[in-house]
Amino acid sequence: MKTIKTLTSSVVFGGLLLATGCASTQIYDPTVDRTGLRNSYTISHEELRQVALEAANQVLIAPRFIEYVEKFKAENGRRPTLKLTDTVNETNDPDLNVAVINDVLQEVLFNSSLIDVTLAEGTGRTQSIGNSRLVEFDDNFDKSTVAKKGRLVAANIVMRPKVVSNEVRDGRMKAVDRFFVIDIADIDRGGVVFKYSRPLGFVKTRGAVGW
Amino acid sequence: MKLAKFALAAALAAASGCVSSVNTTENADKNMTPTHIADARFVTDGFLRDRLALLNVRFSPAPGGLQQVQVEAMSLRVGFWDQVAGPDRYHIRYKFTWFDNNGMAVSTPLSDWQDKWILPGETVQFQSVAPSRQCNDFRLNLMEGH
Repeated sequence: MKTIKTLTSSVVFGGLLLATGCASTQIYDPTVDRTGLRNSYTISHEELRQVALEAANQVLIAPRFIEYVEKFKAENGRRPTLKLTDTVNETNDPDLNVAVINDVLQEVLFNSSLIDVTLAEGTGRTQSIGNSRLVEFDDNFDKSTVAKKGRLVAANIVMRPKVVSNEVRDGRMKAVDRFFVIDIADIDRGGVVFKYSRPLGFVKTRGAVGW
Repeated sequence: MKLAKFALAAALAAASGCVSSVNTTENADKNMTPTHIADARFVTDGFLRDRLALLNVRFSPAPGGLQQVQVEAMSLRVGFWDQVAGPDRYHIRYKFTWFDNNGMAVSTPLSDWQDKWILPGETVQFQSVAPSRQCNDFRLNLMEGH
């Protein structure tokens, strides 16, 4: 009896040891590698990045957007300033974060010298820009170095991402369609100066148990 | 003997039914006046070279003054064995790298690897826009996806 107990304990212990040994971490570079993982309840970084890169290539050469930028520069002697607005989220994920799309597009547009980007207003604003002006009341600061009031540049264009996700089920199959839309609008007149849409999708087939 | 011939014919018919590829038509007298440029190639994967024909490289300034490039390619995976050996769509990964006037690579999100799936016989375009006005040279890396 004792032998059986010892044997059983050894097998269980060995099994646990093996199972523990199976766990692994594999590092990958999202700019190079693809996991191919897709989930119907949330949107992967890969999907967002794919949309962002394709949109970035489009916005740099979109005729109506370029026309707007050139006209603005001719009339105002400077580049238009972009701010972000809230994402329109029509997916199952209430915490959807599309920062990848926003940041990639902003970076590409900013580096191309087509536009300026503001962090003083919009969804991506930082309080520290306004707060920095408060230090003029602190005697420890040289007042001539404090940012002056009335010098912040207001945004001229606003970017709004929109994501829609739909599911269709038929028997053991489930098709998930995503529709990404990126709008850039002229704040002065409200007209859209750039629009990009991209559908993505995948099909999952249910196994014997669960998805 | 008759049965063997019938089986062979049936197998061929079934096999040919599996092969579908893209046919293409276009206007013969073109209105466009693209700027074709000479290209230099360095091949390490002969299979990829034989399966994906690079037809031409076009280079032109975009409306905003940035350069843009388009490499046109056609999937030659149209044979029966090509399609039996792999999935119907040909998965290609590609990456554009842009260089400034000093020959330095400019790192931007546009330099990431991207994916394209090509139907047999389909003609596709790999396009990229220079990240800044200082970039006038490019390199395209292509590889088969898995």
